[in-house]
Amino acid sequence: MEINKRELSSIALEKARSLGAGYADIRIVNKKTESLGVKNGQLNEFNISHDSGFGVRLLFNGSWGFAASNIFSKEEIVRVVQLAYEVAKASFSLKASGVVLAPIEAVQDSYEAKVQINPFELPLEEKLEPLFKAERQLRKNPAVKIGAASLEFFEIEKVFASSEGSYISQKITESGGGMKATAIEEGEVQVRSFPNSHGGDFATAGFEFIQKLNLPAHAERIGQEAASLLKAKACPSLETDIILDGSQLALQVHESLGHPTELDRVLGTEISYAGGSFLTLDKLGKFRYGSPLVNIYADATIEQALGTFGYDDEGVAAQRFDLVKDGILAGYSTSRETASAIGGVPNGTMRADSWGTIPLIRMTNISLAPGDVELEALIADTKDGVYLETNKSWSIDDKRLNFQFATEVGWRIKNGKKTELLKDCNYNGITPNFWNSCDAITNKNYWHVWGLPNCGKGQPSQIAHVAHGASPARFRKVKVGVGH
Amino acid sequence: MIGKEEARQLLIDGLNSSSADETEILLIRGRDGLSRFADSQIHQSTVRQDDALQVRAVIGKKIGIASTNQVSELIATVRKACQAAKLASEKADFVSLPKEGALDAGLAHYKERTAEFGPGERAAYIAELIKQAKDYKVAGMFETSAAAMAIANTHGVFSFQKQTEADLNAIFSSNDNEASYVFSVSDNVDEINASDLGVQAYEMAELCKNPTTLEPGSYTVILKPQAVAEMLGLLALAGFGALSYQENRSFMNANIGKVIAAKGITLSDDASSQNSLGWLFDYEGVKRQKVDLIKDGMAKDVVYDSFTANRSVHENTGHALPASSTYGPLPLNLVLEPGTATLEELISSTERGLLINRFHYTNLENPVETIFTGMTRVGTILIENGKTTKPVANMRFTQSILKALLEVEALTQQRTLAQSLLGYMYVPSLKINNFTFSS
Repeated sequence: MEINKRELSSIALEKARSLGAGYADIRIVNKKTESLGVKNGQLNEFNISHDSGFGVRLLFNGSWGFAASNIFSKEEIVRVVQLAYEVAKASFSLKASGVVLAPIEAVQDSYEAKVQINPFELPLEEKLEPLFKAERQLRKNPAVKIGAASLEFFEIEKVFASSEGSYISQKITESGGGMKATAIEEGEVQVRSFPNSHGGDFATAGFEFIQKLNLPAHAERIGQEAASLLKAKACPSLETDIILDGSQLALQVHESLGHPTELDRVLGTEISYAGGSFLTLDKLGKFRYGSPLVNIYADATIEQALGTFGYDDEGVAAQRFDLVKDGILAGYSTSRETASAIGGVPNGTMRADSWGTIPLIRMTNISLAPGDVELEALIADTKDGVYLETNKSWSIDDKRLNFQFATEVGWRIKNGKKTELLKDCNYNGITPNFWNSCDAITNKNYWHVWGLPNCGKGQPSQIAHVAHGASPARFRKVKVGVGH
Repeated sequence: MIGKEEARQLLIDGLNSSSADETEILLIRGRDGLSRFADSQIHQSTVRQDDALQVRAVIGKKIGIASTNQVSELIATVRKACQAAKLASEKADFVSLPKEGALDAGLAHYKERTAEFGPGERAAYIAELIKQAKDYKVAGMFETSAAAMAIANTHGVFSFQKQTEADLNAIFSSNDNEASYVFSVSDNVDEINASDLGVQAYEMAELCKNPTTLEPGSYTVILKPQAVAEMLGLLALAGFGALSYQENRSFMNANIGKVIAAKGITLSDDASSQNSLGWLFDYEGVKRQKVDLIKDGMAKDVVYDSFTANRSVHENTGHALPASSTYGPLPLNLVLEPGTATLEELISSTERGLLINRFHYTNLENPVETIFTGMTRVGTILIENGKTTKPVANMRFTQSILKALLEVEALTQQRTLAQSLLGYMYVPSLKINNFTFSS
């Protein structure tokens, strides 16, 4: 449906003003998705979806109200603004102190992510060809009973308009994919994925990203590894040095640093669901989060990364800021409301996953800066340890301290060499102890920004697309093979 | 909220416009209101209305799926699904869309007052709960929702139902430490007593202030319903669906007909139980049948949709997810039969153990061996010599679910509807020996 977004925005903001709202914004979002999946030689998934609507957020007497609808008409916009006002009034009855927004400049701008090959305009056969080819290769080893390869494409167009005078339009195209081999023998099941588990790797890019993944070139090896895991020894239960590959380290950054530095968690407003944070305000600027090698930063401007955009859903420009500097806690991801609460500035991390949900503080591209070591040298320098690759399972407590992760595969390191393959690997620890045990990070040649399209937060549950740059790193004296 | 005849006409118009051999259209129209509170104040509150239309077109054995949330785009979406089916390659094992099993469930689990509940009424409930907190800070969520679901296909299947849900939960905290968690869920908002919940939360918080730490190891545990639901939800995901079973990656493959749990464990999926919530038919419009998954400790069966049933000799049990899902069928209405004990009897029969209120961030590490890990979260109390003695700080466990079910010593007679990864389930508390805590 063709809609005049400027006109609808104006109607919404005018209605909000007439009701006495101290602040109001509207987001109009139009999203296209295409999912393709091949499994055991058959097209298993071919879905095309379209989703559109608008959400109105307003402040009345310092209380938030939000309402949203999928129906585009002037009457519906007026009704929805009235509803948001009623919601805010109801919230005001249970509100001790009013929300104050940190000031920002009004922006009139547009942003469009660069795309070389628009995946929505490509013929289906071109998109399926690498999937069928890769999937066949995955099953070359007869122990692999299930081969699966998939692609997903997203196109998001959104307009943000606020009562402060901002009007921002953005268009973001995202592409991603991966494959998985499942080997089964005598009741045992082992899985290997490429380039990552949980659907693969994703980027703010077009089909050129899928071409670079080159799934067919890696498929036979991945299938072989899945089959080999059936015969491998289980990871022994011991305390040892571990080297995490980039993809697992990306998830480690996500869970143990990305979430606990979200300022809404720190201030307690996510307690009812996901929990709080151990990185309390008193620790800012002085808490030794990790060893001096550990530098972690957020940067929503990295070209093609999945957490890259022009402006967040409060109209704050995408930016880079430090979270951990030389091992010390250096910052938080903030919104206008939370920044105001601590006398800080908003750093552009408020995003909603659809028109129907409110923006929350979400990770953008939160990355561990590379070190200066070659991977081969790091392994050679490790006398006794385990190399762990590709996430299989993840769990962390409500304050983000006590974690346990499992990986699809591991290799024993003995006297500086990767030796036998290990299955059923896991490791656990306490976040600051773990990061303080980091004594080497590999260099920029091994650094990659991993796109994660499945970060959950909030109620109703929202799924954010985020990314993490990481290169393999070593951690000393970590418990592995927990529960074996 | 859309009525049955309006929904039927809409879907028939869509089906009539299809050029495919077989077509199915799923419509869900819903609205929900959700108020979140923290520091004893409402800080987020939203209302939303939306439609979901999903069209599955089949040409021979080629399938295309298209979705939209704009009803005005229905005919165009049918066309897109047909085009997708033309382009698709064959899914060799596909036989047909369901030809029977339709159900007019009408207003099952639908309560008008819940459907019309507004933000002011939610705020009043939350205020009642907070009144009981005294010096504790309160955080939580109160959601009320209403939805209608209609499914029709070109074989004549048409199913329709309207339903409502109300879900209130709260955490009481003291000095930034969580001290209690309570919850209540129903299709009828009048059955949720916010004041009583507040009293329960206060009493638990008084018992759970200033927790002590315990060494990891093996403990007897008494899992209250929320923890039981979280554990059984993961078990269901790991292996109670026919797709994982047919692909030999379910723990049920080696175990059908064998003892996998203590004799007192009888677990079924039963949407028709008066204690269940949710849809009485699946996302293909087929009536959800009661399926015994574990009977008196013995592994019995898994659940099927039309695809998995058609490629086996098993009947379709009505457990399909939406066509766009690749998970295969899953049980969404688990019911665990009760025992005869009271919670007090479980505690008094325990020399040393842990009373566990809920788990946090559980995940499967090994689906075939059903090994899961996670944390306890708020409300864990040490039991010594048959009495609850002191609160215990959160602990991490790493444990096989099936081994835990074999170690079940007793179940309570009282059951509660609790939320799991796979919807709401109706479960008692369980006393389990030798539950392993890893840190």
